[in-house]
Amino acid sequence: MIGKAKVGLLLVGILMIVLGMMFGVAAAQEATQSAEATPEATPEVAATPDPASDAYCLLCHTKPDQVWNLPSGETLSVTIDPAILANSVHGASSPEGALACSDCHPSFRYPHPTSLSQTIRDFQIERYAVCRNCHEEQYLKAQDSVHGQFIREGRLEAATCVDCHGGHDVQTPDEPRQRISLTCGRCHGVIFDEYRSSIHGGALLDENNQDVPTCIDCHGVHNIADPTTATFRTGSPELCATCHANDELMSKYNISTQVFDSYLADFHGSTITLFEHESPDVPTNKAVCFDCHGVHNIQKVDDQGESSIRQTLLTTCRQCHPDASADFSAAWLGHYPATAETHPVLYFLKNLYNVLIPVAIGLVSIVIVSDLFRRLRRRG
Amino acid sequence: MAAQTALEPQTRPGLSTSQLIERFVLFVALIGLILTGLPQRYTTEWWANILFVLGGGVESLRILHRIFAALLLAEAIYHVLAVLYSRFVIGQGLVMLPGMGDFRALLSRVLSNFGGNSASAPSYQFILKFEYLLVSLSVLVLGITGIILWNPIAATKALPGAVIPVARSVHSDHAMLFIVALVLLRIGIALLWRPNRAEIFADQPAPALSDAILRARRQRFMPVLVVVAVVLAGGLLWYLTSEQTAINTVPRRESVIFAPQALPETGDPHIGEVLWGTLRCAFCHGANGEGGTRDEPAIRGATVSFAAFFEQVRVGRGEMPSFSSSELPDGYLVHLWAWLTQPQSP
Repeated sequence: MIGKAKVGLLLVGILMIVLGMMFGVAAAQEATQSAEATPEATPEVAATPDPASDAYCLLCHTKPDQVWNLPSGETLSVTIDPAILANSVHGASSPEGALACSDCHPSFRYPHPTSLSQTIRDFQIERYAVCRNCHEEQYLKAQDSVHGQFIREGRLEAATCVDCHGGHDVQTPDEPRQRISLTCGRCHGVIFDEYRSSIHGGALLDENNQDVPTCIDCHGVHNIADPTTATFRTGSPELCATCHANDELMSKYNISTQVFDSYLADFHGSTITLFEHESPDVPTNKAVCFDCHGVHNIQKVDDQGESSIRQTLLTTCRQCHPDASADFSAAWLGHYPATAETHPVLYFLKNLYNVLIPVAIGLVSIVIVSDLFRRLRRRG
Repeated sequence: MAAQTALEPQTRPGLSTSQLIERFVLFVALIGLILTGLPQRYTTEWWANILFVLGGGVESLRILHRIFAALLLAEAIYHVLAVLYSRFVIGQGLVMLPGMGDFRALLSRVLSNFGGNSASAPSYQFILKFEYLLVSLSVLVLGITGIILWNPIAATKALPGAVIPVARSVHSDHAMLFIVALVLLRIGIALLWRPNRAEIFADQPAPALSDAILRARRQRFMPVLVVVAVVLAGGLLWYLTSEQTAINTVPRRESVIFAPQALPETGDPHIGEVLWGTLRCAFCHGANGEGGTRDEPAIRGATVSFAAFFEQVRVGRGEMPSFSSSELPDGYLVHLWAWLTQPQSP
């Protein structure tokens, strides 16, 4: 009797446990759907996927309108579209295989730990170091960049990895090429507008020209240096020369590469070159390319408008030579060597000395040689 | 007497103290100008880099070049005054300037060296005259072009702007001509020809004057000499101090660096088209907004207002999620809307 009673009690107990579990799960499901979804909300455990799997995370994070309320009062959407993630460079197309949620959120297993972040920006700053796990070189460069420096100084608006590359929808950052400048333009809107109106920006965005420079061609990608330093200024002609001294590239646009050579041969260019080699961090008042052509709003030099560089040359000169006389700008020959047609006096004198110097050497040498010949003849 | 100044390898009898000082100053100024000038012409050469470092950098080297130039000009002014004194007070002719006879002597000397009768050939005194001519003309050319280059703004108030590159070219090229010719002449003078300057003056001695005549000439000449000296010295001082060609520091440009989500007044369809492909819009709505494979609607060519479009993106609708301004800045929406609502060709 005692044995039958024990078995009966055991069966009743099992039945109660099963019923209790069913009731509990149903109650949990109801609570999840009705409550405001937060990282602290109870996940749907009916499917009971592996807690370390993406499927487990997506039980909650695929639900629409999932938000996280931060102490600052901001709300951060935490709804994830798995298709977006899968279509990113970290998705199925990744050569290393798709990343799992836990690869970037290793400490976010449910129940989520309490975040100390007060604002969305705090959270982004706190989280972007995770990119270093796979992209250490780029991360360290970014830390050394002007953006990394600003963040360390507390200027949290400076860009982090995700500001440029995105979070879950990371795409190839330079495809299409226009994406580069558009990305920078998200924070540097005024500068982007200037670039947009320039010969470079117009060609990129209107004509899909793949040769013109985007922001990173001049400023770098991750190791973006402070462009207001003397070092950047002194080295800037070399940046321009990257394209403008490239014969193959310039020939496509009928632009002479003499523009760079002539700059180096001129007073400004030769001085800047020496500064770059000797003491690039020492400020110099000699003009670099962007002092005359503009920084981001560079226009075609053959534009004929009132604001074209030709029309405003004297004004440009007076930026550094405030007392420049009306004809001072005529001292500038342009970026091309003197010819008999354009600068006849200079052309003539240059060629005159090309003859005079060897003639002078020759005449004195003849006198010397004749005297040596006489001495040899006398000895013989 | 000072008109005989020339570069000679050693002190000769008959040189006064002032002439010795002149030679020393001329030597120091020319060596200084050569050492500070050549690296400015050949900036990329390795040896030029050494001279730049020794000179304390390019700016210091240029200042040194100007100091040596000022020294040379001061010496030139003194020499002109001395020549004037020699000519108009002592009555000494300009014996150091070569004449046609010197050119004939040069030709005769060279021809005899190559096979003629060298015993009757003229001595090499004419070489010193040619050297004097070379130095005098070069100081004149380099001085004038140097003054223009030192004061380009003042120069272009009186002369056309094109004179600046001409002065630069001539200054550089003539300096090379001067250096090469002078070095070769000095090699010949020191090692081969050994000309005697005293013989030149022995051929054309100054007239013997009584003390009374000499005193009278001095009394007439000295006021003129003082005026000329003041004018030349004043000119030199002006040359050194009158112009600050360029500002010392280029003013910093001011630009708004951090300007997120700048909202353009009008959208740019070109940018909108690029954004469409760049952002995730195309993933659902198709590469050209023609609609997606999961029945997402075609939205290219829509006639929706910007306000409605803005609302749709920010709030979401149906399957379409909402996008915050951190994901899709307002400025982007303006461009996207401009492209999406651009009239379509039939």
